[in-house]
Amino acid sequence: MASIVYKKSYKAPPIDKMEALRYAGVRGSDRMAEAILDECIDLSAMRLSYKLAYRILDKTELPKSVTESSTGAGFLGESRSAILVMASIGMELDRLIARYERISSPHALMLSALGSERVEALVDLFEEDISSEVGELGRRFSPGYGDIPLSAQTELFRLIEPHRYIGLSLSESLLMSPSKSVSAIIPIK
Amino acid sequence: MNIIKYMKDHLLFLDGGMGTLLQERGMKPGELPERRSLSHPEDVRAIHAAYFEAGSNLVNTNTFGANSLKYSEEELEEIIAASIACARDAAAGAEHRWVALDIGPTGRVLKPYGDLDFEDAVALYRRVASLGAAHGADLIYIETMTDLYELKAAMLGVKEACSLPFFASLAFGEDGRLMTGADPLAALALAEGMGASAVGVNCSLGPRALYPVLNKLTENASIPVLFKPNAGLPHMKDGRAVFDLSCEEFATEVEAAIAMGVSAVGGCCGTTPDYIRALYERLGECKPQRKEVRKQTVVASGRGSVAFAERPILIGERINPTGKRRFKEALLNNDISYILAEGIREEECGADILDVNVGLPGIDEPSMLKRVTEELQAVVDTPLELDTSSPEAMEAALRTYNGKALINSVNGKRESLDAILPLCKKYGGVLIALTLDEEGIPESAEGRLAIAERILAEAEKYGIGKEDIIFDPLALTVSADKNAARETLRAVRLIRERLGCHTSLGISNVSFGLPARDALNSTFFISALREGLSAAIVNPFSDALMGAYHAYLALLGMDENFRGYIAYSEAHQVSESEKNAIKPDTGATEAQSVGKSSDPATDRGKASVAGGCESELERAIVKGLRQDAARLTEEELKSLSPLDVVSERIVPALNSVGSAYEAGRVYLPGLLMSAEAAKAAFEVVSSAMPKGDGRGRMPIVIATVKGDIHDIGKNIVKVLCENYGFRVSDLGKDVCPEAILEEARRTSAPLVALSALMTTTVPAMEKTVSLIHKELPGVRVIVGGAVMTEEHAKMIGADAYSKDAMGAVRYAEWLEKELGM
Repeated sequence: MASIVYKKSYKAPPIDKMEALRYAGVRGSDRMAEAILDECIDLSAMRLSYKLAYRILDKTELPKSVTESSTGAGFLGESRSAILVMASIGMELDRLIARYERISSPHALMLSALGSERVEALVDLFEEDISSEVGELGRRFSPGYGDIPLSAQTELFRLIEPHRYIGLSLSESLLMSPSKSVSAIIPIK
Repeated sequence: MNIIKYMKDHLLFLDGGMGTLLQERGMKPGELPERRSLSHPEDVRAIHAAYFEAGSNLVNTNTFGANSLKYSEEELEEIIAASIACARDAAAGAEHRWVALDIGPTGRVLKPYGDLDFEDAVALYRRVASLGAAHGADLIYIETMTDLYELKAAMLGVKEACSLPFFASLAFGEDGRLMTGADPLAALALAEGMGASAVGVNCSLGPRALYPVLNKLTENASIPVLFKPNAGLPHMKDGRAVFDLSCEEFATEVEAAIAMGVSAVGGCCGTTPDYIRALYERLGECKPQRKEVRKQTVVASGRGSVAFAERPILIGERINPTGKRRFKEALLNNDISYILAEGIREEECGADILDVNVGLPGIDEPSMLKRVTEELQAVVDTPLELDTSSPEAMEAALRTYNGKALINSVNGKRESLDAILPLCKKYGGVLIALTLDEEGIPESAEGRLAIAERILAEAEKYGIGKEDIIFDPLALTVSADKNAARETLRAVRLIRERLGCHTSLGISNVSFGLPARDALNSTFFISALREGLSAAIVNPFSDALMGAYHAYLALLGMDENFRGYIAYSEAHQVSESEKNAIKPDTGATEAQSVGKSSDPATDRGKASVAGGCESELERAIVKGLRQDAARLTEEELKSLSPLDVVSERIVPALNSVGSAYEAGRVYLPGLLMSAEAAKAAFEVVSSAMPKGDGRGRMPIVIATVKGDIHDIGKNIVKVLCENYGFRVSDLGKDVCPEAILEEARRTSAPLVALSALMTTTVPAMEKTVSLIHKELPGVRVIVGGAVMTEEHAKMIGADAYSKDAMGAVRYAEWLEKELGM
């Protein structure tokens, strides 16, 4: 099957502030942290993009390191195909975080937390969107979960080459850059 | 015929996609396409031949991803040789057919946001280009670049490998920017500055969606513009990938680009020989319609550009040790954070460009200027003016600089011209040319004009045009010569009128030795603007000067809707009210540096901690009030010694917040707010301390290990340790074991703190721990980070583990006591 890579951009999904605060280590009411979060939302608003690239693959086209791991097999279950998605909110946030690390570490921390919330929200939005086309989806999972080796990332990146579509790339030590990015497999039920 | 000459009178037809055509001929998904040049050369040749037959003049070889990251040295040469041979064979037998060595991005991100070193990238491209030249390519087509820094590495590699002409083509997004946020003008400035023969747009979108970007390029480019869009957007149809534009639709959309001034057309993803045939049939008779472009003076960062035009440009002067004790200390102690914070503040105050000068006796200037350039570019968006008298330092910084820099400076001395002009030619840049020579600075304006003319003539020999030279006719100290300022003002006008060149002045020089310097500086500045000054090196923190500047723009109709003036007046009011705010600590709000205020008094956890405080200063730190903490520290210093302020106020405050954090009553952002407030207090304390009497606690070396580029956790540990008075030497992220060992040795630190975020970098951590234990017995290593656990830490031989920053501080305190330091 000659499947192709699609590229999609979204408008900013609604922000779950509680979730962002949770990423920043806030586990209760903290008005000061909330105020910092609000500042960070303003600071980053014009600098985030919500882009992703995806591809629908037969189970057989997925790397063996995924399908033959017990975690991967568990997530995939009876699914015969899956969506491989790579999403990112862009490099600009990494610049902003670096900038605030120099002038205000609480803001750097909160920008990072906000970025984690943003990119997960982007993938949530994509799942909602794509399920109307391809039907019911299973839970998404990524290399590094359970016994799926992180090195599976290399193989997944080869299948999408997200650098060409959304500027996402993988370092030698398997870190994604931009840092606020997600690489995931979503089983199609 | 030479292709560059051919392009002057002919519309150049490029080729279309390669990947999908190879897939149609049996290439599997995930397979490396370049290998097809070896395994199926007949297929690759046939595709090139089909393009030439359809009308292409120039085809790109099947070498998009051919580089040493993907192939062994041996295979790389085979692939490049075979790929060029395929295209050559296909081109044979007809006129006006050329072969370009295709160079795509590496697919990796350059440091600091990725892990590919700039010099490694240059070497990689240098290798590919030299193979391309050796195997007979006519030119080099760098394409689909999404990061200007990588484009610079590629162009530099090509220039160092061969003398073939090169094209630079970029992939812009829907927002008209590159992935890294750069706009088309920044890309153009870089490509023109480095000497590209053409600049282009390819991939990402269909033709129509790229018109805005294309327009920006054709309206400003002094070199031809290339256009290789996709056949629209892809969708699936009957199990096949289909792009939404037909050949005819594609040709129609591309046709409109001819009138915009495009000089070469072709296609990218989804286009086939049929698309190129449709283009050729429709446009085969067209001539390029390049626009008349007035060459502009433009500098750029990796993100944006600054043009010297009507509005005078402000160049911030604060990154310079001259006369600044705190800055000198920062340089000597490797305290880059202080320098960067100054730069960020200048940008926030409205500087368009930042001057960077780190020259100080006892400093390795080339490596320091390079490092500060790299670190500044990671956090500010403005272009930089590299300011050094050392050609060696200039080259180190220019080479690593992302964009097209201002080069400060060259002058009329033979030695200076011979050293600096070649650097400008090689790396691109706009020169600041001082009107002085072996004889010194001519007293008269006419004398300075004469030197300017000589510099222009010399630059022309290198092919550096007058648009890339800004003259500085030198502001001399008026207290030494009462006519000095007047003559400089005359020189500004003369150079502007006679040579049509831009000018810049270092304003603050004029007032040395006199009181109330702000008044002299701002009046001199405005006078020079009236004489036609294009830019000035100024202190953006000077209220008088910035006020005069914004008023000038508003009065002369250069400030649309008074937007700049009103923004200035608002910022001005805030700073005035802050100055006057001598408020008792009533839990009132404080405007943070980032604008809006927060109301920490409602935070119950902190309120209860603050309630137990003995002094106003402690309360301010507990509540994270940065400005209050600094102000209250000044007051405490009237009655307490600096060390007592630290031990009786700041440390107890941090301890109480730390305990509240450990008990889960205060969260991480709150802990950091307090750390920032304590840092502000420490700045005040350390400036009150007699020199040499440091904060005196044990030194600690901290780093994120090799391979790991995320360092937010490490930075938290650093901030907190500093606030407890430890002398922290921060090596940053992705640091090799040897560098950590070296720093531990240099500082005699009894403690090394390491952070790792990824399971894949744990081996690097283990290596670092064992190296330090072997070479420096007795030095302890504490580790932490997302992947670390107590158990892991033991396994790799670390002396201690901490799950968070407070734990690291507690361990350091314990160790200090244990060692009796």
